[in-house]
Amino acid sequence: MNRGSFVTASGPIPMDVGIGLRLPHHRWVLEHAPATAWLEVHPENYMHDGSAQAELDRIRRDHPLSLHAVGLSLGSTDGVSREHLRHLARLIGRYEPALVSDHLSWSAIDGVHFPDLLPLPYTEEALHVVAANIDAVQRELTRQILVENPSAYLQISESTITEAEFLGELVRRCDCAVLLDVNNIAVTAHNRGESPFDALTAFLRHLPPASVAEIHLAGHATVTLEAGASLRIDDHGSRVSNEVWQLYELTVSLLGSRPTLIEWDKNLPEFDTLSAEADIAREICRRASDRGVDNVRAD
Amino acid sequence: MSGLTEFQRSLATDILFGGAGSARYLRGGPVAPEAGIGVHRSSVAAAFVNAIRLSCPTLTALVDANFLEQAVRDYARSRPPHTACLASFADGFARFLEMYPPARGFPFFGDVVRFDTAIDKTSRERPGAYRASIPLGPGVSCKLLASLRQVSTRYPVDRIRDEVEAGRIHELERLDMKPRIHHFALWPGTSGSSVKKLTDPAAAFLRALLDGRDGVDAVNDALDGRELDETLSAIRSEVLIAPLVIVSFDQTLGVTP
Repeated sequence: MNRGSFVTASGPIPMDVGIGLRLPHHRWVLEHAPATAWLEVHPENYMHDGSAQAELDRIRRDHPLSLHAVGLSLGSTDGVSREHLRHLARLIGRYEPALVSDHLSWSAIDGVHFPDLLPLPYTEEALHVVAANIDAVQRELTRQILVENPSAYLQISESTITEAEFLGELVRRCDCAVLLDVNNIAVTAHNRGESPFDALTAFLRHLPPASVAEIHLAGHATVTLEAGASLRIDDHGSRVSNEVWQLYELTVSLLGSRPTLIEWDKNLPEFDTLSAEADIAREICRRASDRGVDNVRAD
Repeated sequence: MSGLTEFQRSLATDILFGGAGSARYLRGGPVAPEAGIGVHRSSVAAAFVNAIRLSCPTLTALVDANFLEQAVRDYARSRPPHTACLASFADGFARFLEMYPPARGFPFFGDVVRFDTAIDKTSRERPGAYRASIPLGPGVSCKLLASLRQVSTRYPVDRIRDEVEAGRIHELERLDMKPRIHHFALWPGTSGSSVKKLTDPAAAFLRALLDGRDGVDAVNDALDGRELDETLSAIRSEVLIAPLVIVSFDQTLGVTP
């Protein structure tokens, strides 16, 4: 699919740090009008909520917006739900988001939906399924979407290529863009016993730099298993870890600045705390830019 | 059947019903396959429970957390969601609880959920829009608020919810819990839902209009052997009021309010 065939979004997301907007912060944002560069919401929270939509109408007037879906189930052999896609298309028409994204995962099988991002084997069959679903979504929405690398807790035996290679191949087949979640890379690498820095480097090697259109940052939890091993869980319930900040610095040093988002879902703090995390990300971008290594290719 | 479909069905079954049948597709590492499946199972279960908590705050306050988690798990197994949005996940939960053996000693749970979910849905409606005009009689018509709902229960769910919201759960034992019909009209207010208790004739009249029937049918339903004056008075004072209903009079027929 040719990128030129997509309708241009109305107004770009600034090359700055945005915040994931959650429903409990709506009122605060409306009352205090924070100078947040941009906001991102889960469209599923607005599909059946007229009052939330009305609030977002007002918030949208002052902030560029991105829609980050969790329900398209791009990896499902069921295909993408036409109903969900229609709801998403309506919200896109209403809010004119600059970016629309979902995950490299599946949530539905035989019509039953699971509220989670479930893992895919990285095989040719899965590539065919995901590519067909992305094509269907991009065709229906008449725009490019971003696909995010998820956190993984399972290793699927059938996988024949790495996640980074899989995502890179999707970019080539579908001309989709990538939402690089640096926290997810840290979580997945740890759970697989790999170095998160090696994992990040693999992503940057296999992805065309221009395809990375957004970066996500979030906190994760670490739990100790009975066997003594530790497991990282992508719970979005704390500040970004030092390791993830280092990975982010490496990413923007090699790729250059990208629109970056602070996500926080569990134990949602005051909006100011999220703004403080955004300030840290902004400072890291500034440092990387000052060092003059901006826009250096990973390979 | 494709290998991918088989894998997805296997993992879905493990998540919803327990077990580790999908482990044959998985390889070990620092995190054992069973532990990894457990992360997804917990995540899905937490999302289901959270959806019910958001839709059913009164029930959530009334029951033990373990009871709620088990009931939601059993509910999800019997009625898993078919859309990615969980806003309607609680739609069948009232009926489920009424048939759920562990809740047999609490026959009002179903109605509590029914009222909670109606309030939740109403609060997510956008106020303002009205339905198409309905003839009430010669020269008179009305329009119902599009988001207007009517709920009937056998237990005093409004009182139960009030006591729970006020943190007076210990006062619930003083309520008259003898089953009898309670009717409510619900519509979106400036913040959340507005609720109005209705008498039997007013509820019958509103139910008929919401079902798409005309005013004559609705009044007949409301009469049901009652006095005409008393019935019309209830309809006028409880239903034909703003913002629930806008009544229009056709001036060309010389009809006046």
